[in-house]
Amino acid sequence: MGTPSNVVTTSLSSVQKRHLIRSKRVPMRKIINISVLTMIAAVFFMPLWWMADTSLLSNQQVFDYPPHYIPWHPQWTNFIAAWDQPYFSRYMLNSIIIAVAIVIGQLVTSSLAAYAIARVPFRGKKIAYGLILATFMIPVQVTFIPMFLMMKEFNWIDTYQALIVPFLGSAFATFWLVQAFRQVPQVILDAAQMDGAGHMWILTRIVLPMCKPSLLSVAFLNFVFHYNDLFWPLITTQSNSMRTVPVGLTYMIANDGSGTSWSTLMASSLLAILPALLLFFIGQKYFVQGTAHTAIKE
Amino acid sequence: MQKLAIYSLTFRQKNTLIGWSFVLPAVGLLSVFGIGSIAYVLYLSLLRWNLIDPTPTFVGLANYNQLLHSTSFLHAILRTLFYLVVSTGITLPLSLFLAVLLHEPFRGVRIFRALFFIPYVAPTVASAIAWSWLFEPHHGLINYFLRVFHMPAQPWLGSPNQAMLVIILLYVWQFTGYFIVLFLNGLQNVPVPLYEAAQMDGANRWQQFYRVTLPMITPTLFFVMTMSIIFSFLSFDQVYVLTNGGPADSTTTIIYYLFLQGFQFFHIGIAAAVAVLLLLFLAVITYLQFKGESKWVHHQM
Repeated sequence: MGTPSNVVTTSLSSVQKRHLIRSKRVPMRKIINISVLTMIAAVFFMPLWWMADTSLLSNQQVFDYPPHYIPWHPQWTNFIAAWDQPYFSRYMLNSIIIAVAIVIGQLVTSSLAAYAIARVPFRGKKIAYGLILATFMIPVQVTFIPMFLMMKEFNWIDTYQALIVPFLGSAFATFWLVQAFRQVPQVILDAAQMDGAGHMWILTRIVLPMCKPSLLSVAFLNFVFHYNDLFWPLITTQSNSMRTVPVGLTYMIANDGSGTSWSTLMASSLLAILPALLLFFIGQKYFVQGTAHTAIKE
Repeated sequence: MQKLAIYSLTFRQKNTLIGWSFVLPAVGLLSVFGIGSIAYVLYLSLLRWNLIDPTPTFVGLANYNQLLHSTSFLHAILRTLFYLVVSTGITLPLSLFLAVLLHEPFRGVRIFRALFFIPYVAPTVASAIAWSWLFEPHHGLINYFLRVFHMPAQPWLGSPNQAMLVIILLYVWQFTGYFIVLFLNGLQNVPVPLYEAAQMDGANRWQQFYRVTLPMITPTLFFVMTMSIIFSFLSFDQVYVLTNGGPADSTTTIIYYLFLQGFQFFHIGIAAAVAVLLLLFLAVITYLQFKGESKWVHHQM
């Protein structure tokens, strides 16, 4: 919030001045704000910290009373045990493979479509965009039954195709990129066209580089969504070698009591969070801005 | 210009060809898996079929009739409504409050924003496992705290009255950070001069929030509310991991009901009918949102 300039202040009545002076007592207010924030943040952080703490305790310490708030003797071997669980690394690999494949596919199909919709005047554009927008509001969960039957029909159950192909088109990503591509100044595109550049050249050399933040944020959000998804992999995978991390984790809880301890479970959960978390911290600046930007500009 | 007019016809044809070939992959995929699925699910909802029968029986609207007369389904609807009202009722004010606090810059503000956003990034399954450990009746941290304050330990996920509460808290924890980001963006668009004017008029902080901030962010407010309702409506992972719909069906929401019917009992027709009803409900919400938005949106730019 900007402070009023001196010119304004001098022409104020004494009452107004008093209000301005009062409003300048920012530090005290800030201290209260930050303390309130810290308290709430501590509550929010608690489950994450407890997860990390438990993942470093020994199997006996987990059940100690009172609990160990800080793992003074961290059992790093819990992470090795978590990683060594049968198929765990395969689950991680599967999740990353499908999320990356989906994101790359979506970026290709959506940037092509978004470019045409934002920048190419063509007959039937309204119909094409209408079709895309019509699917925007369909939640995937509603389509899982028919999609499951289609996968059965294609003999794709328990294959990568079933996990990847249905999601290669994304109305969300297309819509998002249309908004972004429209903000590229027309003058630049006109100049390129004058020089004889084709649409493909303009898209890959001008539009995409200029819209990098939007591309990264949509990629990030869709990566997180598909990496984290449980429902679809749960119904389309059958063998251990095809399961993803979320599905694999649910099987590990189901096996609880027959070997998997809480500390191993927490270590597995932390490992499962890691890829998305790493991506988030690498590109935090883009993601938080991008997330807000296009979500509202509907 | 004159020259361009002569070539414009071929230009347009060329553009149409290019336009459609660019759009085709996305439109094709979305037509098959999006629109095709909706058509297919409508058809399936008219059948009685358990996947094993080679030939499904056409039963018309019997599935819908059966659903609307089934107490377990009606209870699932009521439970879902309760869930979405309470979870949105907590998440919305909380995230708005935190966004207002996080809006003013201070040293370390980004750490706080990241901290609230992490639960949204983490896989729900992983978070839910952590929550089931926190709320574990014998050794969980929550019951430990209760004992420290001389309160009786609770069964939490083992109790039909408390299991839903844990699921709601998990939802609040997961989505608050996402909604904070949306609110922060809304707050950024409130023109600073409005606050200055309000200050001149002697408005205190609460009045500034109530008279300036709130009216100016109504579009965001409305958007976040719709998103929250849809997200909670479709919450599946939380229920699947924490409670499996139990105890005694106390956490069987509509989406979980759909999962049970479709993929546990293989009542394909019934599950398809649930999906259609779900879609109808979401269509109504979306329609209301668009109608509401045209009423609320302030076009400042």
